[in-house]
Amino acid sequence: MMENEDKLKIRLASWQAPPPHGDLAERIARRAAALPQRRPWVSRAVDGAQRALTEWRYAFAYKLAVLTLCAAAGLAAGLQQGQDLDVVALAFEGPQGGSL
Amino acid sequence: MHGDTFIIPGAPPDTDAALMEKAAAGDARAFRQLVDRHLPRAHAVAYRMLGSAAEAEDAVQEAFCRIWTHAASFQPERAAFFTWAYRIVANACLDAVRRRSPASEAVEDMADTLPDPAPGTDLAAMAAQQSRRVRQAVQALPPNQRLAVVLCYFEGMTNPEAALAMDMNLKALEGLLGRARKVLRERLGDGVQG
Repeated sequence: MMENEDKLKIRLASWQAPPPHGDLAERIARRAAALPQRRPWVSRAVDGAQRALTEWRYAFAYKLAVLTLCAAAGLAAGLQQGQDLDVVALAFEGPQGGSL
Repeated sequence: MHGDTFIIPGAPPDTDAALMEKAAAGDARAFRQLVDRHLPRAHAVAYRMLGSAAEAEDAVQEAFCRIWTHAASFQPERAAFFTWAYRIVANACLDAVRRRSPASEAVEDMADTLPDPAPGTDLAAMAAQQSRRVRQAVQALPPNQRLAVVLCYFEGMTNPEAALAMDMNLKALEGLLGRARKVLRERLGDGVQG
């Protein structure tokens, strides 16, 4: 089995690849260096979050949207909790049930 | 550009990971060192995958540009540079194969189709013929099998390294190699029996 494997490798080795052109490395390095480098998304997200905390105007639309969502969620949760609550009675009678 | 690399004569060469760290910081000289170090093998992989020197040059150029632009994404603790880089080279080659029109599939380098430069020497003619047969047999394999053969048999990668470079599990790679071996033995015939 291994012998056949070796025979195949020897046979395949008869196909030699030509070396790359002498100036290819130079061309690649020049072309690549002209391209902008991308940063990983985690690093970009961390930078964005830091900037959002230090500059109040940065990502203002997102901040406003998040604030509105939080307010809406808080309101909805409050309404859900207080459905059976008699707010008027609570205000006039006090927490112990005695009248003011 | 900043933080350019200065090579001190006699100093041990930087590791690939160290050069990548510098390249990620925009050091073009460090990147050039990486290109010099890995270009011959990357070019050989691309040449054997695509069967044409011109296409191989385009593919390695594309691959190294991706390596430069995504240098910051390289994590040395997760993979060795060469497996990461060869995955990019392999993807560039597979993209090139996909982009080809069916008519251009059979296009070969002129060097292979020209008559042997020294027809008097039988040995040279036989070697050239042998090389042509191997090339045709390898080129006729489906792209994934061809890539597995190129990485494992021509580039001498171990199966786990090749599996990493091809972004697949070891069993799948071994399956590809098994099928490729069978086809190659059938096509190359004499001297290589299954």
